[in-house]
Amino acid sequence: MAFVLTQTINGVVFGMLLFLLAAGLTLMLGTMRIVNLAHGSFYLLGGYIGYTVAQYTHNFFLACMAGLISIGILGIVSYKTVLEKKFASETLAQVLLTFGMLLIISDVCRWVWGGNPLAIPKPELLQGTVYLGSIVVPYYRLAVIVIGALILIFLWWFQEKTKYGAIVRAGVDDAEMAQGIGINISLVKTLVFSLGALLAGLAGVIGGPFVGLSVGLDIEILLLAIVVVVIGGTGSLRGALVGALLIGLIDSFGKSLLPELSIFTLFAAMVVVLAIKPSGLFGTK
Amino acid sequence: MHYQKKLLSFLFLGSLIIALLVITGSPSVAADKGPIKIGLLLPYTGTMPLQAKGVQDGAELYFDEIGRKAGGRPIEIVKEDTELSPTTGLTKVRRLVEQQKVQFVIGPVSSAVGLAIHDYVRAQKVIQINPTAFTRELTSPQKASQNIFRVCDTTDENAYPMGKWMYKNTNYRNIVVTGSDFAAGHHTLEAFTAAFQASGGKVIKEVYPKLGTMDFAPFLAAIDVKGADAVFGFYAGTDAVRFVQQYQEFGLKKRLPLYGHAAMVDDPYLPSIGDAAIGLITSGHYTFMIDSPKNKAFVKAYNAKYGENPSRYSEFGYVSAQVIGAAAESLKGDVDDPQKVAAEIMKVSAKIETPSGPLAFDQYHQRVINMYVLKTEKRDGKLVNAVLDKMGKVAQADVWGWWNK
Amino acid sequence: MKKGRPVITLLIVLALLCAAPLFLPSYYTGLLTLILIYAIFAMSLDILQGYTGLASLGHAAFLGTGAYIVAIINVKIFHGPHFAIELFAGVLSAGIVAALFGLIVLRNTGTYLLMILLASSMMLWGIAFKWRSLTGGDDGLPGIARPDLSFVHWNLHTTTHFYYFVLLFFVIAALLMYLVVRSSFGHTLLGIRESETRMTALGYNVWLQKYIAFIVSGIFAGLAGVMLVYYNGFVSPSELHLVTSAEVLIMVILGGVGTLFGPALGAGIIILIKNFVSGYTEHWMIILGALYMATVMLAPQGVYRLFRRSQK
Repeated sequence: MAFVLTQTINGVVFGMLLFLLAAGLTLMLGTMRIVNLAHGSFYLLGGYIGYTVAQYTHNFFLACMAGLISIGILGIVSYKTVLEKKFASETLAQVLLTFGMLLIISDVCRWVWGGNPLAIPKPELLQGTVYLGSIVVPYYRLAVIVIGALILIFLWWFQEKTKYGAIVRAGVDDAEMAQGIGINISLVKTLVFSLGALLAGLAGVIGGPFVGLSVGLDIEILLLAIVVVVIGGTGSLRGALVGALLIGLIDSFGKSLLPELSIFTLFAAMVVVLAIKPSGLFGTK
Repeated sequence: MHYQKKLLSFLFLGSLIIALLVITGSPSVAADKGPIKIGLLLPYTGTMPLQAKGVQDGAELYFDEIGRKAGGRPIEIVKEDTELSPTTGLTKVRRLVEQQKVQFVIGPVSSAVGLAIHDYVRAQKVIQINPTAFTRELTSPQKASQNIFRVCDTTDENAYPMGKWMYKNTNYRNIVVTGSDFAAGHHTLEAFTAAFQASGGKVIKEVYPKLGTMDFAPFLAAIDVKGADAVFGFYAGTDAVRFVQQYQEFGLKKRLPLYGHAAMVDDPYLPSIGDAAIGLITSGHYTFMIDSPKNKAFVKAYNAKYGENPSRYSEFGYVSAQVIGAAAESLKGDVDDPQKVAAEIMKVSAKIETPSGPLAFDQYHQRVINMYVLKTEKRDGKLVNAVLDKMGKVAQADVWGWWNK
Repeated sequence: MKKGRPVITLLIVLALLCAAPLFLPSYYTGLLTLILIYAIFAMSLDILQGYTGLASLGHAAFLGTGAYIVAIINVKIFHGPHFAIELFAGVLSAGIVAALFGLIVLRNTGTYLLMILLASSMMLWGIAFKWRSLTGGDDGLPGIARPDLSFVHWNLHTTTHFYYFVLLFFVIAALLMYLVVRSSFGHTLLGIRESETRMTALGYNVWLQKYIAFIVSGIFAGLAGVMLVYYNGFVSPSELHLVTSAEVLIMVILGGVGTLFGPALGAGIIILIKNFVSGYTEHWMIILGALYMATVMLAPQGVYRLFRRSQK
């Protein structure tokens, strides 16, 4: 029983982190139909920037803000200067473009922050572990669940309950029409893209104490985010959440029950889901 | 018009590239008594840049110490990035040998790259000093080659003596072994297990998380099995950082003492691991804390040049360079015949004092290496690996009996 | 449009390729050999991507399968080269893997196809990584001998002879692939790329056509894998990894999707630049990344189309 509980908590924690990543990517991929291979790079760069801010201010909240804002700005800049343009309208062009961005950001990170794996120190409030019976859970991981839930609520509210969410949905589905009724589509799209980027940057800082920051992490994170978004079905926030939690739990239980096969767990899950439901669990295509 | 502009710009770029290729492509003609060219074939990009940097810094330090000359000829270093990929490693070593016409290659770091370039290097007869690729195959009787030398400890040389040491010097008799699920992890833990069980102990469980695991929580639960009294592990790089940190975070460190291969607490990674590393006992051939005149001088010079303490990779790089320098000096610069050089290396190696101890190669050109048992401690607010015990000289033939029949 | 021009260009290129070893240093001949191998790989992906419209991030599965089968036969079974068997088995096995994958994945479209192929090839990677007794695990299988062609007085251990060996296969493969895309089958594929529904309405068995294209594409990729393992003399799981699949996709896009020869050009550009730049700076990734971005901005249809006005 304790075993099941521990693995469940671990799975949910990991899943929440994945959700932060996937939410951003699902906005870009699903809502805006942009393939952004640099999503993992946004995560990593945001994390590194947060790390540096944490070094100077010893304040975790400021580090989160720094990661969030800097990558949000990067998102705006990349969208306006490159991704919005005509040459970036085809999927394959986006692949090449964002892959180029991935290479550049990866090298810059290595150049500036070096090859040492870095970790953002946990906020003092959240250090230490709590013992639920015989189960050990670090406080910080519980906090990640809470933060993830808060962001989930915010995004859901934004998408369903505000007029901005409706504008975004309208604008993406039928840009001309939306423009016709006076909506500044370009502005909306830019904001959505930067929202996705900003979530990635924030995830980088939040994941910092847990996953660390190291060379090659951008690609690992990208892969995880893609797996989650694809399994959950692109464009669906609910899909991103379910996909993320599912992956987190599969990963957690898979590793403890079949450790020898843990190299296959994620990919096998992907093949199985996509073979049965070709558009993902909640996909709309 | 627009199209023509694009075409022109591409043509211009293209011809520029071709021109540059032709200029740089022509193999440098080695004039009589030109420089001694040494290629550094290391993973500058990829997930092991710290290892690459350590090896490079160690080698460069030695070459500085001898005034960038050996046997009367100036030393020229050429760097090539393996990108931690076997195919790229092979392409780059070909460039070093066929294009740059190096006489020596120091590298690689990755065992996969080491195996990939092995046959080529053996056929080309260029002298290769392997500083870090530690898969036991490379200097086994089947694969060993006249012109290839290795200065790092093999998985056997490291873990087998440690298995015996643990049985003799601790009361732990039921060990759980854990390591990343790849060749190096398996070989290391198998060597440890063979030694520990031959001595009379028991390895009661093996836990192999996949390479690149981010969250070890489920695996830590698997390690925490009833009846275990200690853990021996092999992790390297970022995996080591995460594993050691999470090992403490989840409370195992208090109950199950953690032992392991020195890669778990490599000096470049210690600051990242933080206090979670304190108390770990590992098997390694080098720490900057070794108290010998040669090492103290080495550490001092290293600090003066780089502002930090040398790691075991620095030692590997330094010794690789020592070997080349000594042979070149002894041959008075006549290093263009690999057979002669190889024979000379065997002759002069006995006279080389490395930061880890005296140097010796066995008949397969594998280093007979001084092994230590290290303990990670905090001294003056900094994390260091202190010497706990000496395991003495280890030759690969002493420790491979359990698989190499 | 002058019909003769493209043919003349191709003949000139072919002549240059034949003459190359005579004026290039051996290192560059070796590099050109690698380029030819990746050119076959990239062109095979173009059949899938450019002509049928099926995007894939798992094409390394076929390259790697061809490579591993040859390696296993060479090292584990025969302890020596057996060219005919290795070639046949390598290419056939890649085709079989394509046939198996094709049964599962062709219901997926667009991004989902991209992803399920990614996942499938990573499963193969996982198998190669874990099955150490057969594949050598992450250490791979070294010591693969090149074919023994002494009966035609070819010593494949020399750089030049091996180059011509690969060039021969490159020409054959390129020719075959060209014939495929110019045939009525090829036109059917183009039709599918444009609109599957229209083709179905016209009475084509779209699924079958896609399936055949998938297998054909896989077979040629397998051939590239066979050549690659002879070139390297070893195989390792990275031949099956996502990174390899991504690299070849980039080659196709850079060169020009749907041009068949564009991807070959893309392979050449990327391999040359990577090797050239990395000799000068550790930061070659920034330069390569900037090149990719510049290509999209200046030549969004791929480099090849800059020179071929008449292509769509």
